[in-house]
Formats: sequence, structure tokens, C-alpha cells
Amino acid sequence: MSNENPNNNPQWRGKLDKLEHFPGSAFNSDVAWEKLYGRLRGKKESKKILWYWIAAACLLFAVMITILNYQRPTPQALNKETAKEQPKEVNKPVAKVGEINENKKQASAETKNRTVSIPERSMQRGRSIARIQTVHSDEVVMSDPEKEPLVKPLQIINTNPTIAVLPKKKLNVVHINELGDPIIESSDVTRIEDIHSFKLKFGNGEVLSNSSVVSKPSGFIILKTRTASN
Amino acid sequence: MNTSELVKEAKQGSTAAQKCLFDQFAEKMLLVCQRYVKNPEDAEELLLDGFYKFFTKIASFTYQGDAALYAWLKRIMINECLMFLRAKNVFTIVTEATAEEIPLQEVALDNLSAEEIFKLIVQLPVGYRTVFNLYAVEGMNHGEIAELLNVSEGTSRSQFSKAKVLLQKLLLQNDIKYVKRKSK
Repeated sequence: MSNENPNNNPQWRGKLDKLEHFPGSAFNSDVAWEKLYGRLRGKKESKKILWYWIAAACLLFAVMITILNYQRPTPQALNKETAKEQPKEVNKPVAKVGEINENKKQASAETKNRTVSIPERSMQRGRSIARIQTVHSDEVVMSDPEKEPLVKPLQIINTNPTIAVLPKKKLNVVHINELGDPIIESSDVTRIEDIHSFKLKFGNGEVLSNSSVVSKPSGFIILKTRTASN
Repeated sequence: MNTSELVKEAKQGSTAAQKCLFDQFAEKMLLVCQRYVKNPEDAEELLLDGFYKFFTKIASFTYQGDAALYAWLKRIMINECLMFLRAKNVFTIVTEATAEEIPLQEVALDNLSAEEIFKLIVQLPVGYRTVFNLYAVEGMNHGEIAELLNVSEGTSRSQFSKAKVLLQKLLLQNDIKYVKRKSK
């Protein structure tokens, strides 16, 4: 049996094609159209509604972003706020790393005039260890009461990412003499471990050498002698 | 307004043009649907489904004459009907590998009017009717029918043969009735 359709154009098929409508059928074209139009309109409306929802969602998203951006403070505004808060709050950490340089400049400018003299309290093995008092401005001054007061500012690099906001305090400039005499207290300390070394040559050629002479606070000096060979 | 202009305006969303096209083809398409689906309500519903599909996809249609438009619409309607039959699961065809060749007395059909032929076809069971419609009326071959209905070609042939046998019986009955009517 061949796969092709043998009855391509029979007469009855032509008759069937020419049949326009079936007599006795209760088909109402207008009613059917109303139903169809309702479906088509419903589809259009649903499409419109979908677009409205998409538009509303986009608008809401845009508004949210705008509000969030508005609430986030700009660095300039932050600087202004911190400048206002400086007299009120002390040592308030500021999280912005970018403001470190500006705050440092401010701090150094403010604290150039207020230096604090610290008496030296201890001397050890010939090296003076000065107590460092860190001020918020990161400047340290040490002074030796026996000599002329040497004011040498030391710059300490502050690695801490948080920056302390400096208070605007006016410190009184006080002369060191007004603070009292710290020599009595510190002289003992300085003399405790003074180490000297010297050589003593006598007339007969005897040489006394001392590698370590320890000065005691009582005033006695212990000499260790050694006769040098000629 | 001719059909090409109606199609053009319907593509642009004109409701009036859509209604004109519907009025022009609705009854013919309803006959197509009724040839496949016996129930008139179901056939009307399928007609609306078909036209809905037609109007929603008309933008992709290129007008090449009334015959092409008619063929496209008819194809949409047939697809809707076949989908409906598959969904209802009424379209069950028993697979039969061999089919007996039974010649259809086409002369007898030619003597009948279009309405009588239509009534005869509608009297066939759903499986026979579908294959008969696709093969004898739409002019498809058994390979296409087998692909459409998801059956083997042998099954399609077998169904068509059985449809012809049944149709001969119906024709005979119809002839007897016709003779009786004439003798009265």
C-alpha cells in the first residue's frame, strides 16, 4: 500500500468544502464574538496590569536607592559634623581613615604651644630612659633637670587607625621652677648606677686602671687596682 | 474592505477588523470543528480557542491570499480539535499492524449532498472519524497522520479501512432510507 493519498480530489470533498454552514445549527456569531472579544480584552488588560506592576516595582526600587544614598553621609558632611562635635566630645574615635591626615594637621597645630615638661626619673646603664607621656598630639618632651632643660619633641607615629579627637584645652604655661625642685629625688636615681672608668699613673710607673668604678649613693668610690707590668 | 486589508488592520489591533474576519470565517471553521468533535458546545468552544490563537499570532502571519488564510485557520482549528481529543483521552486507537484494503464507494458519496456526507462522517466513532477526516478530507498521508496522532502508520491505515467499512454500511442504510423516502 502506498503512503500517498490516492483520493486527492474526489467530488464529495469539493462538496464538503463548499458547505458554508450546517442547517439547523444554533450558532450565533455575535454571541461567540462577544465571548472571544472578552478573552482578547482580558489578555490585553492583563498585559497592561503586568506592565503597571513592573513600572511600580522599578519606581519603588529607584526611591529606595535614593533614600539610602541620601541617608548615607558624605565625607564632607562628616567632617563638618566632627568639627561641631569636637568641643563636646573628647576622644571620640573616628572610623574614616581618610580623615587621619586632616585631623593630624589640626592636632599638631593646636598642640604646638602646649608642651609638657616631664622630669627624668631614671637613668640606667648610662642611657637615659625618659618617660614618655603621650599626649593626643603625639608629642613628647623630655627634660633633664640637671642640665639645661632640653625640649625635644619626638614624633611618634600612631599606627592606630582610630584617631582621637583633640580637646581644645588651654594649658597654662608654667615655668619649670614653679613646679618644685626635682633634683633631690632624681639625683639619687641618676647616681645610683653611674659607671666610670679611668687609669691612674704614678710616678714610679705603677698604673692603676679601673674598668669599673661604681659610684655609690653614699659618696664612697670603690677602686679596683691592678698593677700594670712595665 | 478586502481580506488583506482586514488582516493588516487586525495585525495593528483593530477590533473592527478582527470582528470582520471572525464573521467571515467563523461558520466554516465551526463546521471543521464539528467534523472532529461531535458535541456542538465543545466545537464552539474550540472555535473560540482557535480564533483566539489566530488573533494573538496574527502578527507572524504573512497574507498570501484568501486560500492561504483559510488553510492556516483550518490548520489551527484541526490542531485545537486534536489537542482537545487527546486531553479528553477519548482518542484511543488500538494498534493494528495489518489493514485490509477496502475500496470506498466514492460514487455513492458523490451522489450524496454535502450535508448528508457531513452527517455520515459525524456518525463515525471518534478514532475512525479522526483518521478519515485527516486522510480523506484534509488529504494527509498515513505518515503525517501517524506522526500527528502518535500512532504507527499501520494503525492509521487500519483505522481508515475500518472507517470505510462502517461508512459503506451507513451508506447502505442511507440508501435504503433514500429508496424508502422515494417510494413514499
